[in-house]
Amino acid sequence: MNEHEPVEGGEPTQAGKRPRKAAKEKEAPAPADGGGIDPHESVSGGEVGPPGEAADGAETNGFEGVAAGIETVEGFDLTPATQEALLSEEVEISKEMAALPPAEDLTYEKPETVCGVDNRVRISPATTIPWRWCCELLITYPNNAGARGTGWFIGPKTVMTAGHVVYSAGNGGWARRIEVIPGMDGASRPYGSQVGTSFRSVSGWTSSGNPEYDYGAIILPNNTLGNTVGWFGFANLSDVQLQNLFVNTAGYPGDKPFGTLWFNAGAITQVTARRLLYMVDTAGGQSGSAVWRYLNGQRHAVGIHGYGGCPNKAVRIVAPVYNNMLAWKAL
Amino acid sequence: VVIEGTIVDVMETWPLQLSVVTGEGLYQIALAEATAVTSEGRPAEETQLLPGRPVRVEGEPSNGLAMKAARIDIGTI
Repeated sequence: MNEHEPVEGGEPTQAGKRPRKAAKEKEAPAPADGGGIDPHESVSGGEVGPPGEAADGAETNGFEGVAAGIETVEGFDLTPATQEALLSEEVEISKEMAALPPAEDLTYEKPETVCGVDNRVRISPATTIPWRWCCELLITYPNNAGARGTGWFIGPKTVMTAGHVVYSAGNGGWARRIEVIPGMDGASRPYGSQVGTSFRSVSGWTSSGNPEYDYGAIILPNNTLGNTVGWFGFANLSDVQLQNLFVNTAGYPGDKPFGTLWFNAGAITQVTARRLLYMVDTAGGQSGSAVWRYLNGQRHAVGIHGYGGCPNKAVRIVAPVYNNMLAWKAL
Repeated sequence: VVIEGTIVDVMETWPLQLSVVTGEGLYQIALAEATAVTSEGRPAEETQLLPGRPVRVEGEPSNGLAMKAARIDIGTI
């Protein structure tokens, strides 16, 4: 078994029909996996839907870039992040955003774990690109526990997230259902929502619990939401391209008002074979967030955020991850 | 079920999930909204759950080395 082999979760309806390999048209560098077992073997949960039409490929595989880009977001101060050896996207700050009190002045039920100064910036509204590609995820696990996470569209009906969002061993395994709400901004659900019951991850996560393989996807019932909001591209970059790259992330942290989207950016501080480490501020609820590069007007995810602890960590989009994403996007 | 071990990873769902290494192996721990977090018996924040910290976890077992935490105490080992 290949640990990168996709696996399905939820309520399988077509036993044995597991997408093992992604599209070959954009061949990625050879996987670095060793041994005969591939932890990127794709697995699935929930309802396995019929194959859909392949989406346009916004993704690039190992594309060349000179400088990393930060989203332009008003009110976002890169200085602390730089001092923490980090960040990136530029985000324009609206009057409403500027009127928000500093995060450090707010009182939360539980403070977030940040790395140095908390310089997260709220994105409101979240209806422009790339914010509307980001989704609040409301998760229900088999033990009826509820949880929240973040996801992002990579295709008309495919939402990427962390593996532990779709498959939580502590909560009994594959999620029962996940409501996906793109562009959520407080009480506003500008595009409505859809409930996903079909999930994907890889055996390296679902069987082995290896954090290096902690990524997954939600397959929505139809293309409606994705075709309305659009989706991120994604890229498999080299070590050299990733080292010190300024990256962006946005998610729905649980320490902020419910349903609000928060942005931060910074530099990747360490690149390993399968993970990216950075001091970009995140918090519980942001698992599954895209970690993306903004370059020449294009946005390509290079990692899937999932872990805190300073440095915070993302699964790196290496070739097997990239290939699984391509396959899941084409479902 | 009660386990004692060291936090290896903190997964950022809300509530959090943890990987905790014990003598039996690596446990996957899911917190709930109602999970009580303490540090040596005193109320603590979830943000104090960091890699490298020893923890004692009480909760309901799930499949294999996994559990839903009812109470987590930091630094009791």
